Amino acid sequence: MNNEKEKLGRREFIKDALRTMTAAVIGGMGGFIGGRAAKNTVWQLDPNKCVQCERCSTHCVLTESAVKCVHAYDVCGYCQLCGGYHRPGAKIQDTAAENQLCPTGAIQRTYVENPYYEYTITEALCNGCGKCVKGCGAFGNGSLYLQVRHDRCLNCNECAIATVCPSGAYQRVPSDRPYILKGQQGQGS
Amino acid sequence: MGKILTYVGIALAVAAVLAGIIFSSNRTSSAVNKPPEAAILYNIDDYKKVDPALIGYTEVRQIKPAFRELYGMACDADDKIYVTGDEQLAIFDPAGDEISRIDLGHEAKCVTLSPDQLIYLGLNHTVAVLDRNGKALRSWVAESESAVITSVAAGERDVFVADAMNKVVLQYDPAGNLLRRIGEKDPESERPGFIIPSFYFDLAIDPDGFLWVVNPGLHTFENYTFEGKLRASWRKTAFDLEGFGGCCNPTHMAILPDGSFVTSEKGLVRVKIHDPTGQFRTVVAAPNQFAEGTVGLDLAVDSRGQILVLDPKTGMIRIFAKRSS
Repeated sequence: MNNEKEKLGRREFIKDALRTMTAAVIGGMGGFIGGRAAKNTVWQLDPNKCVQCERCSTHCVLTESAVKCVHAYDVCGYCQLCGGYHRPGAKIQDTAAENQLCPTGAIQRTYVENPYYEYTITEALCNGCGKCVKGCGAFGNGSLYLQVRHDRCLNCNECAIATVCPSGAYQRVPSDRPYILKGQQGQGS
Repeated sequence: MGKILTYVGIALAVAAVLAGIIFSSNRTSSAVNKPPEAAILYNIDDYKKVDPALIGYTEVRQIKPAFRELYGMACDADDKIYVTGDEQLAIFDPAGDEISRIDLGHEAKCVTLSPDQLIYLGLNHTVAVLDRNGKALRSWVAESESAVITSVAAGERDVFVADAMNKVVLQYDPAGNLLRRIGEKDPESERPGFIIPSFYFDLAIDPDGFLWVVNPGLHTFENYTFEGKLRASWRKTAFDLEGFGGCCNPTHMAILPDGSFVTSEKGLVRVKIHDPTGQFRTVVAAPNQFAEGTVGLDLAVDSRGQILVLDPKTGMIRIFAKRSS
């Protein structure tokens, strides 16, 4: 009788062990997959939280910041006097350097038709300072905004800009949706 | 052998800890303590400063309508105040007490009174007419359902409707029959039409009975005859007090009994007065009198020349009177 109990006990022990191992394997796989999924995130800044403090241009580990200005054309007013392009005190709304707000001349102004102008960012020149973003948000429709460009970003574990961002605009987002866009593109994402 | 491995392990651990300390201290000094360089700081607060001597009005009273959202405001000949918000119209007596509230069923972005004291409302793409007691008299769709009505002005025989979506002023008779379209783009005369970068497009009838329309993208006031002909205009583009800056200013206007224009702006949020020829006269309220993010200040003028400012940010009607000095 005791032997039978003992045999049953061993069987139960083996079954329990198998169950535990299976659970551990499944759990481990889940953890591994979950961990992999959690790792598939990238840094991005929320334009709705950004306060244009200019730290994006100075604190990125890259010499030329990975943060660049992008333009939501469907939000833009195509204005002759553009708060993102012209210095607030500019007397004449032309393309003279002294009238431009961008310190690197990274915004191209193209005549469309009277009195509309298109504004295009020359990414290679943009240093991510966000002056144009501040001007556009204050005086215009807010179509200019900053984004971390993932063709440049090294995706550091601890983003140097995120650590000093005063508005907490930096967050990790899924790598398959790496941008927080404005306008119709933003609605679709 | 075991001892050697132990020593190597300890050495590696110490090296790792030291590297971590050095790395983190470098990050702290270079990242956290490094302010943006002063040379590239851009502070628009400099443009918000106003010489107190240029402020000719003082805030004398506030009325707090029981609305979550505020949209439009008008003042009648008896100084009753009409305010829209939360799909309702509220009417206040001159003392600021609410005397009636009418359900509209839709958001009314603008309200005005006709000379015969009928209430005209812009309900998205529909014009609604109520009598003084709030009884609905008639309504009509403003030409198309794509219309976004941002302002209505009513004369004795004409009703003018600002459609910001289609960038046109629509002229109707009081029954709602379309008489003409005013101010459209005209390639022949090279008139660009109304430039409306955002949904701010205001109009009003002056004491002489002429229609004035704000062309916000051009910072221009345009004066039209009731036959739709451009009669006069003035334009002031500037960030200082002399003019209007940004993409679309002024956002709202009202006309004083002497024909002067009261204007409100976004970006540099301020209320000021220009004389009938466009010359800057005085500041009613300076930027520092408004909360950050304030936009959409509708304006009205009462019979005593007080200026009423509907402030959606604080949810209040703010009343400004001329300084006694």
